[in-house]
Amino acid sequence: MKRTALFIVLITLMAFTACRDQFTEIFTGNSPVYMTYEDLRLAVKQTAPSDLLNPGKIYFKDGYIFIVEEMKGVHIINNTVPSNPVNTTFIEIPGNVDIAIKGTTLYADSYIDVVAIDISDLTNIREISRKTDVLPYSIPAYDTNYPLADIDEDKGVVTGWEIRKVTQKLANNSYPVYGYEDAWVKDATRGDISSGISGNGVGVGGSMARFGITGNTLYAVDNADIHIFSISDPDQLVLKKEFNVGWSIETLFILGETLFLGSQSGMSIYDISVPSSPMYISNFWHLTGCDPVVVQDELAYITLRGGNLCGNNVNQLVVLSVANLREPGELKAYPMEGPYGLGIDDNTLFVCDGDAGLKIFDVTDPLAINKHLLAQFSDILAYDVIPIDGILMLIGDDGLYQYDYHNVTDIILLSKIEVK
Amino acid sequence: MFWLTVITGSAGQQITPPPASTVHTFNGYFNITDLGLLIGSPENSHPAPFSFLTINGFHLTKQLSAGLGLGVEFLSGSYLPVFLDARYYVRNTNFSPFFYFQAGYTIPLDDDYSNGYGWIVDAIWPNNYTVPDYKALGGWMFNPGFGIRNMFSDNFGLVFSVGYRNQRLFYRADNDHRLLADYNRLVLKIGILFR
Repeated sequence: MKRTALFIVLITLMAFTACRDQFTEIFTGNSPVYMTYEDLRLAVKQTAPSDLLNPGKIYFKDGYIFIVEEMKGVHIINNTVPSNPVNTTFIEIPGNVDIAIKGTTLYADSYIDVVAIDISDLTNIREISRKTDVLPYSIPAYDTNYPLADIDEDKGVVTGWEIRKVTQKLANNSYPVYGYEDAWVKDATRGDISSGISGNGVGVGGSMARFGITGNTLYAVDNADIHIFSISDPDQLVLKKEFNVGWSIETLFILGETLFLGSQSGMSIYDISVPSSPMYISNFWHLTGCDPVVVQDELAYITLRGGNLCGNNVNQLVVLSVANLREPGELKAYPMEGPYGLGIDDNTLFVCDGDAGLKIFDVTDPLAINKHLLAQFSDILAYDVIPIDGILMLIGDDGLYQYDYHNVTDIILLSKIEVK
Repeated sequence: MFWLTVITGSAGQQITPPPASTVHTFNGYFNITDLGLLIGSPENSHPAPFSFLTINGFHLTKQLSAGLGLGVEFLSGSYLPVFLDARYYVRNTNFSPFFYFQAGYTIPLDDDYSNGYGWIVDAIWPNNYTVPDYKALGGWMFNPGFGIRNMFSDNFGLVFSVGYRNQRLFYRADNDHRLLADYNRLVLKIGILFR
């Protein structure tokens, strides 16, 4: 009898020691709105041209400007006559932030997928291949005045947020779990770049590019990893390799056989003479900040921008010598107001310097750039710029602007497509 | 487990039940003061906090009693449980199994609830969103169980009990942010009984 009682007590004790405390949180917060994976994979389609609402990165190829509508898709603008750009069509690509084009194939991210889209016939744009579940699970920007509700990745991708009352269980963790704070939060204001021409038939990227193409290889960087695809056959995207390249990676720039990765803490240089196997060469560390990179000849230009998302309040244009890729060295740093993207055309450097507007420098003497400010247009506010052959394409919160800069001291507005 | 072994061992070795024929008069006032643990999963932030309760009551009949209890417990902060206690003794003898039921409200003794306990941080907080400072509001408890009473004299005895404790605690922060904590614990108690 005594043993039986003891046995019952022991069993009861064991049963209760399996009991976890339950914590239920009730709050008003960002509640995710999902799109199922099945719907995501059927979502790419061509639609009628639509107004710019929240433009992101820009890309230029063969007289066409491709403007990413953040998380929605891509506007295609016929820019054969820069003074009269024609909004031609729109491609719906849910979760799209980055694009790159080779030949007649546009490569785009779509949440966790990468898709290849045939744009050879602008009246019949269609998806031709897709690599699923290859990019990190990411979430769109949210209202930071409210906490995030839990996200159930099994339900699909998050396409938006509703501010509403949330009731959810809390796990009983005794350590911080940052969850999606570490995920790749797609935000148009994080990182800027001009990715440059990287081979025949490849377009020119605007600022904020995380996609780049050289030869038959497509590179995509997320917060920490690089994903390398073979695109020799557009009908079959092949993931060749992916590996960690650091932390807080923001931008990607390709010059010849060299890959430059800009992060919040520095710039990494890789040899991509074997495109599918980048070889680490060196790193240049700097103060934390957002840092788009452009490289021309043996000089790299980096803008550091401080602020909430970028770490500190250092705002600089930094010129690096990359003549010796193994030992990049800082030549000089120039104070800026709050620089975003930058672009270079021969000896003319364009810097989108936040509230200070567009600054144009002659960089013939990289040690005295500040003494060669050719022009400053405080009324031109932009975060992305592509200068090509005397035409400056500029994207900002209020739309796409194009200027003729053949005479840089007197740049002329050719056209604008305003954000509605 | 060691504690349990000690209890059961001592119960078997030291407390010799008096003959079942020994009958005291079970009526009037009594006090039970007990000490024990609220045992849950070792993975809980407070796997086995102490519980100290004292119950003052009356026998309604020789085998049925009712009382009012209060005490102090340390689930995730300090709390003062105030509850009603009902007991049914199976036998009208010194050594008797019994069943009990307690229900009441636990009143927080700490003004603020610190976030340092860990289980709050699982939520996903934007960078500029401050994790709320919860204020403890207390909450409802109920506690059924069974045990053994062994009287050594007319006025003094020992009580061992095993029970199930369900405890819900409420917390509130700014912006109508609320937290409910639900505890399901095994209660092991040893106490003394005065009459």
